Amino acid sequence: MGDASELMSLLAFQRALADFAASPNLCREAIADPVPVLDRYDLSPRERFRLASMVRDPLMETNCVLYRVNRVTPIYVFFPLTCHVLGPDLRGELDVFWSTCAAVDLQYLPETERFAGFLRNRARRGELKNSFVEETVEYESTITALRFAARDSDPLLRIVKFLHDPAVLLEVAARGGIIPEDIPQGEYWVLLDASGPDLTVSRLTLEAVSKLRSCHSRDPESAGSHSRVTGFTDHDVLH
Amino acid sequence: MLPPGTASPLGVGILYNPALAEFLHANLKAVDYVSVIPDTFWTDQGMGTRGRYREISRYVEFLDWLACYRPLVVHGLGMSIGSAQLFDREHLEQLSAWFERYRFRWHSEHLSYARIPVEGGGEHNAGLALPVPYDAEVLEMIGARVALVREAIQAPFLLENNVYYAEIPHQEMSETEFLNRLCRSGSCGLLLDLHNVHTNAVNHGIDARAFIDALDLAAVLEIHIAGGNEIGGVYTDSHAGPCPREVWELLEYIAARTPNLLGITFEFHESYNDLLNEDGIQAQLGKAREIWETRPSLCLS
Repeated sequence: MGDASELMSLLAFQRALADFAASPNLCREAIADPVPVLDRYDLSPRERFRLASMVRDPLMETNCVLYRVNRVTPIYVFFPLTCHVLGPDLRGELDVFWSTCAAVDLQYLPETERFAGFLRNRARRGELKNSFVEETVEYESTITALRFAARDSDPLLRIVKFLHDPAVLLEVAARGGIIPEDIPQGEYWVLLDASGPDLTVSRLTLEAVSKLRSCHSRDPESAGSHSRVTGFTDHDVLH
Repeated sequence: MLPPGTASPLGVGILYNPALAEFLHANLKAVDYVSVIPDTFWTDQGMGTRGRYREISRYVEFLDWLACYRPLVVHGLGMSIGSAQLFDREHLEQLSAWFERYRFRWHSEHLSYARIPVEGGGEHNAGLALPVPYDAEVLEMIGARVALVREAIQAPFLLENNVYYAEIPHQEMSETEFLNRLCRSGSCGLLLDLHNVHTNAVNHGIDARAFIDALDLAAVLEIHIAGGNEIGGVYTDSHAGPCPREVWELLEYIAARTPNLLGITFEFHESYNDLLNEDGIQAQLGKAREIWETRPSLCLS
C-alpha cells in the first residue's frame, strides 16, 4: 500500500493543504514567504512545489470560503435566532471561534455544542457584550439537544430560563427584526416538549416553576438555566 | 467492470435531506429510490469510543418508514477513503451493519479526504472534501481500501469524481486515467457527478464532453445531477437548486452511452428547499426521468 515514506509525505501534504483551507492568514503568510511555512511540514520536494504553487492559485481562496461556509452551516441551521441576535457581531465572533477551535469533526451536534460553549464563555467573561445572547443560545441549544435525543432515554421535556420576555424576544428574532433594548425584563420560563411528533414551546407559570423547585430533585437554577423536567400538567403552562 | 447482476437499474432518485421529509411523504411516486447520507443519521463519538455511533431516533424512524416503500442507496461522507495513514475500520463495520439492516442497493463515497490523523492520536477534520493527487501511490492506497470495502459489504461500491478548486500541479495521471485505472480492476464502479464535471469545466476550462469521452463509461453505475452558484466570482458545487442547462445537456449526452447505469440522482442542499419547492423538485425529477427513459436498455425491457 505505497512506500511508507511516500505516504508520510502524502499525510504532510494533506495536513498542510487542510491548514491552508482553514486559514486565509496562513495562505497569505505562505504567499509572502513560503519557506518557513512549508518547513513546518515534513514534505517531499514534489509536495513542497505543489503546495507553493497551490497557495498562489486564486482558487485557493475558494477552499477557504467553502471551509467557512461548511462550518457556518450547522450554526446557522440550529442557531438561527442566536445568529440574528448577534447581528453585526456574528462575523467577528465566528472569526474568534474558528481561530480558537479548529474543526475536530463537522458533525452538526458537536459543532453546535462547541459554538454554544464558546459563546457562553465569551459572555461570562464579558468579552461579548450582548444582553440577549446567553438566553437565546440556551434556548436553541436545548432545542438542538432535544432534536438529537434518543426517544426512549429521557423524558423529552426541558425548561429554559429567560431574563427577557421570550414572547417578544423570540418573535422579533424569528422575523428578523431589530431587537429592541426595552424588552420587559424579569424571570420567565419556557417549557420545550419534544415528546410528540413536533416540538412545542409553551410559557410556564411561575407557580409551575415553584412546584418544580419543591418537587424536583434538582433546583432548576442550580442546574443552570435549563433542566430536564417531568410531571407537568396542562394547567402549568401559558399557551 | 463490475460483476453483472449485482444490482438492477432503479431509475430516478433523490439525495435525501431533512427538508425532503414532507415531500417524500406526499410524493413518493416521484422517485424510484432514495439516496441517503448515513453519517447524518447518527452522531459519531470518535474512533475507539464505546457506543461510538448514536443514532438520531427521529431521523432513523423516518428512514425505517422510507425503507418500507422505496429502495435505498447510500452516499457516504465519513470514510475519507483518500486520507493518508487513516482507514477507519470501525466506520466500515458501521456501514456493514447498516447494509444488513437496510440492504441498500449500492453505496458510494467521495474520492477525496477530509479526515487527518494527528500526532498523539485523534484526528482533525479539514472542513471540506479535498482532492487527492492522481499519483500511483494514491491509486494503490485507495485500490487496497476499495478491496476491503468490497469484502465487508456485498453491494456495489462506487467512488465519485471530484470537484476541485486550487489544482494540484504535476500529477502523475489525468483525472480520467486515474478513475479508469481505479475502476478497471472491477472492484469499484464510478459515481459520475455531472455537476462536478461542469464546475471543473467552468473553473479550469476543461472540455466536459472530452472528459466524459475519456472515461470508461461501462464503469458508470450512478449519475449525480445538481445545481450550483457563484461565490466570489467562482462557480461552486453548492447544490443550489435546479440543475443548469449544461448539466442537462451532459446528461443527455451520456445517458444512452452508459450500459450499466443503475440510477440518476438529483441532489440539492436543504437550504434551497424553499427556492425549489415541491413543483420545482417534481420538475427536476421529471426531466431526469425523460432522459432516463431514452436509454436503449429501458426500451429493450
